[in-house]
Amino acid sequence: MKKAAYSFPEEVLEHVFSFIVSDKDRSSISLVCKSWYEIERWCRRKVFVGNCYAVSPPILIKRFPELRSVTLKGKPHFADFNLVPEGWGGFACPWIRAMAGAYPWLEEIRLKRMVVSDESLEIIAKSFRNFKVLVLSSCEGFTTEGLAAIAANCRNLRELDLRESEVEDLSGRWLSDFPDSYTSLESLNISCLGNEVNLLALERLVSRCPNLKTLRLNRAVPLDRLPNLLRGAPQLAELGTGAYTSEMRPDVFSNLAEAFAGCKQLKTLSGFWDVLPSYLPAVNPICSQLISLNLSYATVQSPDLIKLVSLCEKLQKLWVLDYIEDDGLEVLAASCKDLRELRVFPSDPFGLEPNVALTEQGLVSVSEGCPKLQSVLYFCRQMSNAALNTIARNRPNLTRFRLCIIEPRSPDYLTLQPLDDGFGAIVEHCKDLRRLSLSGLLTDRVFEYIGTYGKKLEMLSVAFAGDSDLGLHHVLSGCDNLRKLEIRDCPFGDKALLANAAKLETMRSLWMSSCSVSFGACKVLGQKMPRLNVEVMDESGPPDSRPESSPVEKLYVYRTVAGPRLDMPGFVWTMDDDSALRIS
Amino acid sequence: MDKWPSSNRYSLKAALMINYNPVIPSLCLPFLDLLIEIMSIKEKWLSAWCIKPVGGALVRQEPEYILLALMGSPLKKIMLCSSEKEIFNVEEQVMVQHSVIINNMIEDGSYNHEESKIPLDCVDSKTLKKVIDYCTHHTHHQNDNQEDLEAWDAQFLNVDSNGLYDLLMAANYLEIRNLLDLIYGTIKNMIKGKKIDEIRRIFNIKDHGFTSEEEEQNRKEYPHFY
Repeated sequence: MKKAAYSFPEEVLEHVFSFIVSDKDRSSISLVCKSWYEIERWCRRKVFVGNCYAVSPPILIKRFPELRSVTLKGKPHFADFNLVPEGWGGFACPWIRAMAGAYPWLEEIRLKRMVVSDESLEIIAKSFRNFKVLVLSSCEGFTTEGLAAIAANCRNLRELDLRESEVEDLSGRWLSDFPDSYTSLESLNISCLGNEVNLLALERLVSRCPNLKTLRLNRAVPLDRLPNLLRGAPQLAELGTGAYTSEMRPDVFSNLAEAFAGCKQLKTLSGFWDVLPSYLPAVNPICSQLISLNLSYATVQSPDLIKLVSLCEKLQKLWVLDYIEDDGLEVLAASCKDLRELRVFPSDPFGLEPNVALTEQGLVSVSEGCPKLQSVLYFCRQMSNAALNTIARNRPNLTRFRLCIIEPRSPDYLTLQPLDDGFGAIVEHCKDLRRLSLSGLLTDRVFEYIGTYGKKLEMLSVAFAGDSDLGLHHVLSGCDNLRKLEIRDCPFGDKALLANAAKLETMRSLWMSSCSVSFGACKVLGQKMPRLNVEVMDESGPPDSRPESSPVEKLYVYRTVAGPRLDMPGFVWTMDDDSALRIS
Repeated sequence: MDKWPSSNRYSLKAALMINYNPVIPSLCLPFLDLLIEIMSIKEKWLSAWCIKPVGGALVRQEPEYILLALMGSPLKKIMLCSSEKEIFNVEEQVMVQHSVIINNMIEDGSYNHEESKIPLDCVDSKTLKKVIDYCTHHTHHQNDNQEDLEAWDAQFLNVDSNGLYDLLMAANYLEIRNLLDLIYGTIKNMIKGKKIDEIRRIFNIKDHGFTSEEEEQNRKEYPHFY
């Protein structure tokens, strides 16, 4: 039974493909050959669209007719730093409308940095009978009325996660719209809501959902109501407290400690607004089982933090304010040998003088003491090449390294040299580095290092760095796996951009603001590369009212199969053949 | 049965072969006593087998059939016939344990041990031999540790993709669940994490079916996939 070129039957391939779920592998499958492309598109159930403008709803629906789960991302990352003006885009409505018609069995919608209206939420609530998961991450544009529609209609809802979204909180009544018969909730995150929710409704909801594993409350939930909630859900694995303060009364404390002790499966803690330090020890009974701790709202001092952290021997992830100081980080390094991720946020980023004793030494200690450390986000006020070198050599297994030295263009505080060599050591030693954020005084040389060694780098964030176009050229020509590049306030201009135009088609997006890219170059890029959208943002008026050589305020370039978008506000222009003509 | 040491099983086999003469079943009786001792079978369970009412009288079962019944006929063989008309003798227990199709055939009585062979017209000799190898090994070594079994499986599947295809078709036809899962896992690993040019080579895909423009555009947009 010899076959010249056998091929596995469709059912076999379909079955094999069902085990292959990562987006990268699925893309790979669809590129192998036309017949695999066809099989794959019919059995794809989950899709991730990293830039909602890279594709359009009709194109997505045509290619993948049987989706159950869709993830969309809208605004560029620098929107988190208020660099993307209001009204820029990222509207979820056209997507939700289209999906409501095409995917009646859709189960999951995850949106990040998108504008979602109440109308969209109502459409979701009414259109998908088996809807299970709604995650709105850093989204905006909706109110608690939209949430009420979801609560009232989605009988099979498992997850409602509003992380960091801006919600117009009209009333806490929406929670009562979950019918009494509804018991399938597994995850609820309302930490971003401003007002009080109906606490009685919350308690009833929590106690009647036996599979509730994640509960993240908002600040308005008072501490004395927490024990009751915990007793209603002893199976909780992840908890975000509300405000962590109350009149100091012994019965409140013991009640709380007892309630925490009863949650034998609790592994993740967050919340901790307005912490009263004397209440912190109430969590001691469960510290030894914690793997993730988010204290980024906890304004408590180092000694209290140290007492807490030293008990968490299984900790893998810690987010904390710089109140922890170098001393606290040293204790962390000694106690938490399983630490994989550390984020240290600034308590007073706009202050001129340091308010805490946190320096580069803290990070060095952690890099020495924690062998599994992979992901770092660290805000500090001073750094040295020597420290970066030590960190790089200690932890070649780093995959994400984001350093934010608060004052732009700060040199090595010991030698007053640029920090090129330090970051160079990071990219050279950390061969699996996928994400890097630079800060401090940096010349073109750091980009040469990055282009040479950053072969696995996927995302790079740059601010106030470099001397010339050469810097940008090194990165675009050297980083083979680069997907996202975001740059602000750097002297990068036309030459490097145009010389590496083809590279931009292999990336998701490029953001450049307050750089030296001229309007003329943007036009050329737009005309030369039809599969890119070259968007120029300028709030001071149309770019062609100034000479061609004058720099554009903001530039956002991304690959797309959907052509120029049609929902741009007045301050955004797409550079392509038509618009170039239109403007001039 | 699983805990019975294999040495005893072989001596019993020898005993049966010598004694499988319906004329002198009584020679088995002392051996049967020994067997009872070895297996610590409760009296009442054995008597249920030994004595059965036939035509109003109570008749003692032939000992060798009792023994075979007690052992679940491990040594009974069945005949499988490949598409090339080659006959393979396999322990019934081995095939019944793994193949749903063969198990059903034996159970519903459509297979007669004396004469029938099971024709497998879709499976060639080479593949059938491999399938039998797999089932036999997994029956005889089912108490081995996981690592050893996995190593053996890996070695077993070290075939070219044509061979893998034939094995898959056979395992599918015979409904051998664990072999199917193993093969699917292997095919998955031939795809996951591999470059596209490599996948095309492994699966012998000579014509990818895209237009030259499409292929060029794909290579431009996803250079690190190729």
